Amino acid sequence: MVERAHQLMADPVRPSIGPCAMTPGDAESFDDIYRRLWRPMIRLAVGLVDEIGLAEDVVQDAFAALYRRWDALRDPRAAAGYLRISVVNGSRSVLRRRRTSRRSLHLLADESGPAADESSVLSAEHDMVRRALAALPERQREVLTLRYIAALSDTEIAAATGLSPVGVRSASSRGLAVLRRDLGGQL
Amino acid sequence: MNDFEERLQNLLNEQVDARVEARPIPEFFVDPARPDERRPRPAWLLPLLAAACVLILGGSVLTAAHLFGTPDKRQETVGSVPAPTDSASTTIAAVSPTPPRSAARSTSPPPRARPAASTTPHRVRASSHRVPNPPARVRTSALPPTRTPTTAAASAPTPPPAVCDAANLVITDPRAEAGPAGMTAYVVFQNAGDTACTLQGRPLVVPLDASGAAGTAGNPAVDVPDPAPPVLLAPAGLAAARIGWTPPDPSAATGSCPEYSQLRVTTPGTATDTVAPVAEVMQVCNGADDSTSLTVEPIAAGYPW
Repeated sequence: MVERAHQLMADPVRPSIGPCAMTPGDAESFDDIYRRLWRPMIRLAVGLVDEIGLAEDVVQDAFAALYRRWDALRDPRAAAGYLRISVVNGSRSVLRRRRTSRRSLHLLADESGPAADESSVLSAEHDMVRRALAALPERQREVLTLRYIAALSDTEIAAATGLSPVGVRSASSRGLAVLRRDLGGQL
Repeated sequence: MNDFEERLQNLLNEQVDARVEARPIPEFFVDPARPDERRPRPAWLLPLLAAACVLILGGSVLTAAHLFGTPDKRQETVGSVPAPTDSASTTIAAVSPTPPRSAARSTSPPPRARPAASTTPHRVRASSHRVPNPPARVRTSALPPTRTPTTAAASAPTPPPAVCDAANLVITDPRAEAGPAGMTAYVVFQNAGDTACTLQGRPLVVPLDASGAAGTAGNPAVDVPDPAPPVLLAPAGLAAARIGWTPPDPSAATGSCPEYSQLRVTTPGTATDTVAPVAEVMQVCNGADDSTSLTVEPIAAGYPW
């Protein structure tokens, strides 16, 4: 899955216009993009990995990868798609590492509790929804996070996750059915 | 989107925003301004490119003026004087045989044709190959001009290239090759004029002995048009015609093998001939029926070595 997404990183975000099509004056600088896209990316990453510290690491890695590719990335408009793919891939790696480490440490219980300072500002409903989403299988959780938190279209979700549009729709409907079953009576 | 989805979306976004909103955007750990600094071109690049363009343009204009301006002036000064055929004079760099000894080849310097002043016959190896009568340069003024540019051509902006005319003679170190069919050498033509000219067909090559007497060898015709394509010779451009002959061979029955030290070369389409001493005496054997074995091929573009 990660390998497939890495292949996709090279393709759908490749700028479609040539190097001469845009003058430097029109181009958004890396700094501008960082300031504009950091918050949307951190929201997406928090939805995916459910921990603010890990999410910040993932987002920083994504921007670092964009920075390294900056010369090849001629169209700054492709930066958002590139960053989304990086965040999705980084979140997958982080979750995989966390799963294995927790399994070995027998810390499976209480794995998804928010930090104490965060729980105070969240109602029981918020916490319930968050837990239910985190309990979903990886693909369904990713698709629902990209749809509801990042507010992306099916096409954008497909580009970010490496799934086909059909796969996106089926994962979305299945995940939504599970959430409806678990939460329907309580929301 | 139904009520459940809407409620779900609101709750998810609220809990994410509650965790994210308070976070300040951290400083990016690499100076984010750096990639932008790499993008602008150096300031000196544009003036440099502009200067290069101006130089190239000026150079091509000068070259064009040099190429096409000269013949007009000449024809105006010449007027209607008949047959000044040296407007595109040709250097014949020739030719000479080396017996099939590889040692002689390795020591010879690369043949570099030298355009000589058009008024003096060029004798590079004069000490060894000087002949009693100097190489005769027969001017075509006494002969009927066949393709003399008329005065009307002076008004044309770009007259078509004239037929190359033999004027100068340069001796190089030709590399005669011993092949299966005998000896091979090249008669090399270099355009010593200021304008391009054309050569088409087979030159007349008559070997001369040391006294300047024509031998029995030699191809007969000069003006016979050959199917070979015309060769356009730019100023200082080179073309060559390959000649071949049978060297003495003790094991084969050949006729007499006279020795020749000069070649009289007549460029095709003209009546001008040039005598070129050969670097080494060539022995051209006649066949058993006393016919010559010297063959001459049509002129081809380029430098054969």
